[in-house]
Order: sequence, then C-alpha cells, then structure tokens
Amino acid sequence: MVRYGMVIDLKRCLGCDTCTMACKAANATTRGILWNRVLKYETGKYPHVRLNYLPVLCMHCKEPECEKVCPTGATSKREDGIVVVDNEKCVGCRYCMLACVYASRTFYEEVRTFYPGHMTRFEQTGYDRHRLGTVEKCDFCLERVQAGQEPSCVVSCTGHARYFGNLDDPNSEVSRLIKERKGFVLNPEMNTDPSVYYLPSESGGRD
Amino acid sequence: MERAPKTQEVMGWKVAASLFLIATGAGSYLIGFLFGLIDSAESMTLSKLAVILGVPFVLVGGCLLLCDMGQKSKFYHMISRPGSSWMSRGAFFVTLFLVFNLIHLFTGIWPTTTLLTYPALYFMVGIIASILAVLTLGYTGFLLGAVKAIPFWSSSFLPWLFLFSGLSTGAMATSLLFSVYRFAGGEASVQSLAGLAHFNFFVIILEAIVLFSYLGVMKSRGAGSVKTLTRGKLAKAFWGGVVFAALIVPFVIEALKSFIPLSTAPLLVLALLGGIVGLLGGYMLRHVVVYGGTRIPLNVQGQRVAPPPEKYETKVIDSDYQSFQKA
Repeated sequence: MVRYGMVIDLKRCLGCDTCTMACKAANATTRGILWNRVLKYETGKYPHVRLNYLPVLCMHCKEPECEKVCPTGATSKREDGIVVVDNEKCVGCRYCMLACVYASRTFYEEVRTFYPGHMTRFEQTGYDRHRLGTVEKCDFCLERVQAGQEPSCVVSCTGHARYFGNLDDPNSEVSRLIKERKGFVLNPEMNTDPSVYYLPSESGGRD
Repeated sequence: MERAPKTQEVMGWKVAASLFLIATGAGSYLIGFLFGLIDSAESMTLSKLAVILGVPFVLVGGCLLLCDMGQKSKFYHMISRPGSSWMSRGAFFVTLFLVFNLIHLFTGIWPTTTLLTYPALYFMVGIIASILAVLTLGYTGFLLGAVKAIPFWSSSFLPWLFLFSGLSTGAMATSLLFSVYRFAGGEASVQSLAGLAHFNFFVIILEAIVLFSYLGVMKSRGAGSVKTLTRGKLAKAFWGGVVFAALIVPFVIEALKSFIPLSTAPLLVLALLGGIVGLLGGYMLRHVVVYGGTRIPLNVQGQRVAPPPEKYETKVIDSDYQSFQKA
C-alpha cells in the first residue's frame, strides 16, 4: 500500500516562501488564495528570542475531519492517502473549512486578477482548473505525483527542507527521517493522523 | 509571532440568521401543535397562528443558508450524506419538516382534506412534524458541535441551548403575531396568551440555566471565546443582546403576563413588545455563538502558534496598482 506523505525539516527551512510561490505558480490559484503558507512565530523571551518558520499546507490526514463533515462527499480520501476535493460535487458550504484543524482550506469566492480588469494569459489558462464558489486546498500536486514527479513545493525548496514519499514503506526516505530525527505532527491531540511530518528545528531558525 | 486567539471568519450573519429563523419556525410549530392538543376554543386561534409561522420562518432561514452557499444550484446535493454529516442531516430534517408542516397547514385544502375525516391520521401527521421540529431545533447545535477545531462549539450544551432558545423565540413570535392579529381586528381570547407566557416563562429559566452552565464549562475549554463574549469585541452583543434582550426582558414580560391579572390592551402591548425584543435577542444568541467561535492554535511540540488566516486581504495590492496607474 502507498500512503503519500511529506516531511518538512524545520532546521533547513529558511522562511523564503519559495514553496508558497511555487505552489501558486503550479496551481494558478487566484490572488489572495494560498494553498501553502509559511507562518512566522517567535519563541523565547527577550533578549533570547528566536524567529521560527512553519510551512503549513493540507495535512492529508488519515482521519480527515473535513471528509467527515462534508455533506456532499466532495471531499474524499484516495487509496494513496491524498485528500482531494471534487469541485463538481462541492456546493461551497465551507463546513469543511471550519472542521479543518489546520485551517488549510480556502474558499474561491471571487475572481481576483492580479491587474484589475485584466486577466493575463497565465491567469486565463490556470483559472479554468478552478471552479468559483467551491473550496480548494493542496492536493500534493496530484497531476505531478501521478506522472511520477514530486510536488512543486518539494522540488522548488531552496533549502532542501521538504521530502516526499511513501509513509507506509519503512525503507523510504520519509519514514527513515521521521524515525531517525524524531519527526512530529501538528496537533497530535486531535487524532487526525496527518501525513505531513515535521523534523524539529533544534538549532534551526534565525537567532 | 503568536497572536491573540482570533474568531472564525468562515461563517457570518447569514448562517446566524438562518439558525435563528429555522429554530424559531420549528419552535412555533411545536408550540402550535402542543396548544392544539389542549382542544379548547381559546387555544385554537393561537395554535393555528403558531403553525402558520413555522413554514415562512423555516423557508426564509433555508433560503439564507442557500444564499450563503458558493454553488447554489447544487443545493440538492446537500442531502446526499445523512449518514455522516450533520449539515446533510439538517438539510434532511428541515426539508421533511417543511413537507409535514405544509401538510398540517393545508389540511383543510385539497389534496389533504381527507385528513380531516381521519383524525388519527391527522394526529399522526402532527406527531411526525413535531418530531421533525424537535430534530430541526436541535440539529443546529450538533452542526456546530461537530467542529472539533472550535472548542467553544464542540459542546453537548449547544443543542439544548438552541432547543430552549428556539422554543422561546417560537413562543415570542407567536405572541407577536397573536397581538398583531388582535390589533388588526381578529377575534380570539387572550386567555391562551397568558398560558403561552406561563410556558415561555419556564423555558426562559431553562435557557438561562443552560447558557450560564455552558459558559461556565467553556471558561477553561473555550477560554478565548468566553473572553470575547463577556469582555471582548462581542461583549455589547452578549450583555445587551443575549442577557438583556433574550433573557431579562422576556422573563420580566412573561412574568407580568403570567402572574399579574392584566386587561386585554396592556397584555397585547406587552406581548408585542416582548415578541420584538425577544426575537432580537434570539438572533443575538446565534450571532454571538457563531461569531465567537475561536479556532484552536497549531500545536508545534507544545508551542502554540496562531493558525493561518481564513481570509486574505488583498486591498494593499489594489491600491498599489491604482496608484501605479495614476502615476
């Protein structure tokens, strides 16, 4: 069995947002919609404070709350563990957005072009893939994965902080990293069993 | 940077208003059915007025929910997963309730006139519609309760709170319509109004007990939300809209109507006033519950990090572009 997952090394993350822009370019999301984000937060107390980066995206949970609450079945989990939204079935009730523990879903409410009143050629081709009035989120670049490639955020990461692979294979790089570097997930108390793991920053971040 | 807990921005006034309208409609129907069981001439008019209120309130509430959806033309997909989703179950309950309420309402008109010749069948329709009314009243609490990411909503108190509040607003909407009916020259005994006030008096007490127990329990689990309601940006709406308009004013008015012998005119004025203030309070209760929902923070190995924003503001880019164009 395959269960696709991602490992993000917080020690290597530079907070450069290249992944954010690569995701945006690959998926042509409208202005204001980001499927991948890099959160910034402080730890410690003055004068010993540190700025940390936390890239967040859909966690592709094994027990997705969004899938449980969806009234139409638009959100579903594939056999390979990727949680997808069928925008033909989605009615845009946004119940899943509330249910998502990681606030990783976005609502395509209106067409917002980068230049008011004018849609660039890139926008014209990209926006056909989206459906107005539906909920959207990261799908691990499903088309790329099906073509045997890695998600665009993984290949574009300047710090080589992201790894993609099969979590069910104990010999895969992602499984090895989780085991060796004590990988953790966000909000484990919610029992959603996410497929996105983080490696602790230890001395990472910017002092 | 860790920010203060931010309230959810996904659901707004349309959802709050629809929760209020649907609950009020179901509550008034239930009151109408219960008063219809009394089988006295005094309560018949009140019972009919309450049953009439059910359909328009639920219909408008349903339409508001529809307006809030991104893909309105596909609303019928909503009832496809009643097995797992509370939204689907709710759509199912509301639709069935509307159907049975309409059958009850148009009993004297074709094609359901036959029901009048079979009292047992007529009674069964009322029982089924009443069960559906109770489910419609309670489901909104379960709908919000299924959202584990917002601890303030994830409480077993919420269905009870919405049930009692729906019954109370249903009673107040009925009182309001009754007094308007009387002022418009309709003939009906005001005796039943005192009976309804007596019923609502106890419902308001139960509502207050559930509300304050709910907030007491949420002080630890949903501390951010309780703070927003009692001391934060929703404090005016909570103290003025919920405590004063939904509880204190209706409580005093229903006590006056129940326990002090009043002549017809002051009784009707009180019913009118209590109805308007109570309905406003009923909406405000949903408003503060919906707008007060605060997401859990992201837990990064024990470190609490504010979750990403649900909505993005892009006005800065617009203004930048406009100033660029002008230049």
